[in-house]
Amino acid sequence: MLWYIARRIIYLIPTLLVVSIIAFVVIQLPPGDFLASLISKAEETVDQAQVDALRERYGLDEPIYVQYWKWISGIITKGDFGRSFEWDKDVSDLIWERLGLTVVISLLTLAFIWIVAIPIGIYSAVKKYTIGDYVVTVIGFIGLAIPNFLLALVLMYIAFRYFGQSVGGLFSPEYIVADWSLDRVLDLLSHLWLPVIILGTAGTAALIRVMRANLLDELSKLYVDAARARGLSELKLLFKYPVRVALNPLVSAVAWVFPALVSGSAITSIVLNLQTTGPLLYRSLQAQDMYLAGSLILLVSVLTIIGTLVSDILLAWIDPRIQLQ
Amino acid sequence: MQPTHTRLDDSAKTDDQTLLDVKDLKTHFFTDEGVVKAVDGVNLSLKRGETLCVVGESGCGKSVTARSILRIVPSPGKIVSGEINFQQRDGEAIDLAGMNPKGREIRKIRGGEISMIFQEPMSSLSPVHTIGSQIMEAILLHLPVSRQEARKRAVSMLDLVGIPRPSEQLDAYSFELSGGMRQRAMIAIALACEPQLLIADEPTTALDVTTQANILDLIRDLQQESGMSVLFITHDLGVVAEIADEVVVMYLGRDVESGDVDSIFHNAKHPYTRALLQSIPRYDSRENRRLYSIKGTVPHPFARPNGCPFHPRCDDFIAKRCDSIDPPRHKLSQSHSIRCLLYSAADEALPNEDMLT
Repeated sequence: MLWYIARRIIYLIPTLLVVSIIAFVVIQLPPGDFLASLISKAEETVDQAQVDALRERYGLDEPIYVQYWKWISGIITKGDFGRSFEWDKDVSDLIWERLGLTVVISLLTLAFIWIVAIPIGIYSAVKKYTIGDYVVTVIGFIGLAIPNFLLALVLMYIAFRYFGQSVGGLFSPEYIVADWSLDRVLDLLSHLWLPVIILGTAGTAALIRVMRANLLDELSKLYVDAARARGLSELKLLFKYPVRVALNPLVSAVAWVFPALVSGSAITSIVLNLQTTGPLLYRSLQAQDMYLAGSLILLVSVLTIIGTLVSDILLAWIDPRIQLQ
Repeated sequence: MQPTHTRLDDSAKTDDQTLLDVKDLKTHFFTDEGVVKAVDGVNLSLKRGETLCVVGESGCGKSVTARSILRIVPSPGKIVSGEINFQQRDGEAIDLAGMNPKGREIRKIRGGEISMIFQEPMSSLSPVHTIGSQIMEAILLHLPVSRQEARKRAVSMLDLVGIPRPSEQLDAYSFELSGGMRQRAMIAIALACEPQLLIADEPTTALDVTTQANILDLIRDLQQESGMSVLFITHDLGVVAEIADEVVVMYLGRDVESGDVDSIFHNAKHPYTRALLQSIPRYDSRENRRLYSIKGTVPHPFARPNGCPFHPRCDDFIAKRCDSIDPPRHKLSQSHSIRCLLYSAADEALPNEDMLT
């Protein structure tokens, strides 16, 4: 098992390298660069000499492989992700806190989805075609159909109008720029529930359907009858055999939860004004802020790959049929 | 609802030798399209230490009968009437048909007094649990032993059913074993608590011929050692000839003919039984002719024929009788009964030989 994990981690290195190249190239693909989009947006004409100076300073005239080499070697040797043109700050200063918050929100959302969806999915499968199943199914489809950002707007309105809570953002105004302290953590926790519910709704609805379908497949398998014929009680039977097997596909889905939450929920995050990486990536792409965008895409990819690794390890652990060789 | 624990009055009590007595069992499936009468009046009786074979074509209700006994009929199936009288180890007779299928009482019977092995050893073991965990589960459910003792017993069970290196194989997963070994493991699980009755639902159908013979020998040996009864479901008459003491022939959810193995093989009366026997390929058949097959197919479950359910396919069909009168069960001898109008006329006379040949 340890050897398996070690080997998988070694395989990560070439994958990450390829991903970083692709990320960098993709960022460069649109015509123009940050300076060009800056000039086009500028009210007054920009002095050409000044532009050339900036271009020189950021190395924008050099060939793409040179730019890539500077960027990637900086990351590997010094943890320097380059400089954000738009924010005029180091990329690493911009992303770490947001990335941390993103991971926290992602994990909480994942936990929320599983805690809510798995029991409901099990109920729905065991009580198939009953009133309860239909109710859950309808709610599930509604959850799937409503766009997250719309749900965000509605819940924000309700929370503000009826509970008088300051909504939007992850912190109350006084804590936004404050240093980390116990009060700031508590403030964060009091704000987290809304984004977690909103971000988790669609995933929960989808997972209920997946869990129900998986479990229905397993419930009719012969090994369930065989266990029942041994005299096992219905509840123990359910959790020891079919539920256990039905969870496997869910574990493999862990891999795409991270990227979906990091990049896919950008619009919801913008609506909710969350300090996560989604909105940052969105803006950096608009502004062609290439080092920031490239670094974010690289980090999202790294998270995806780590998610895949984690889900593979979990699967190998819970499913003996997976060969470690 | 019937009481969950029905004590039989003396008149219904059969002699001590009878372990299982199924009377007029009806198990129907209530689907949206209509009621499927999978089992519609089955009678069978099994003595201690004997082997009863239930034979019939696919879809005749053999498996549902077996599952009804253990009360593991899948939804939307329900036992609608009949009795399943079972003599418990403590001597008390109970009617399994009256029990709550999810109750504690039937769960004590399952695996403890009556065990079952299934047609496909490939899928009747959990893919993600070891063989040992499943055997020990059965042992710990029914016997008052510690985990270590259960493990020991599990190893000796695997040894008993002829699995090599039993203490290693205890930690093997089902996908690591061959089909024959999996069925052996299933048998080990089924017999771990020394049940009085083993229900074997086509246990050799999914296995290759050599393995089939091994598994049959194994079941027979274990039966001789333990004195348990076996209810064996199969459509293979060769297997029946080899292992049965008694035979029940089923057609469309009914026992059409039942008797001891000699009566069925050498003195078969029901046209269906005779047709089945004729359909066996014979290596010594001198004429180079086509293999006999019963005409037509088993009718659609919703289109159950009136009268005798076999009449549309019967060569000896009597017009206006077979298609209107439901043949009653009729005893030809102490150990041989039949449901056929050819034999149970109002006069109770033996059949007219002209009609038979």
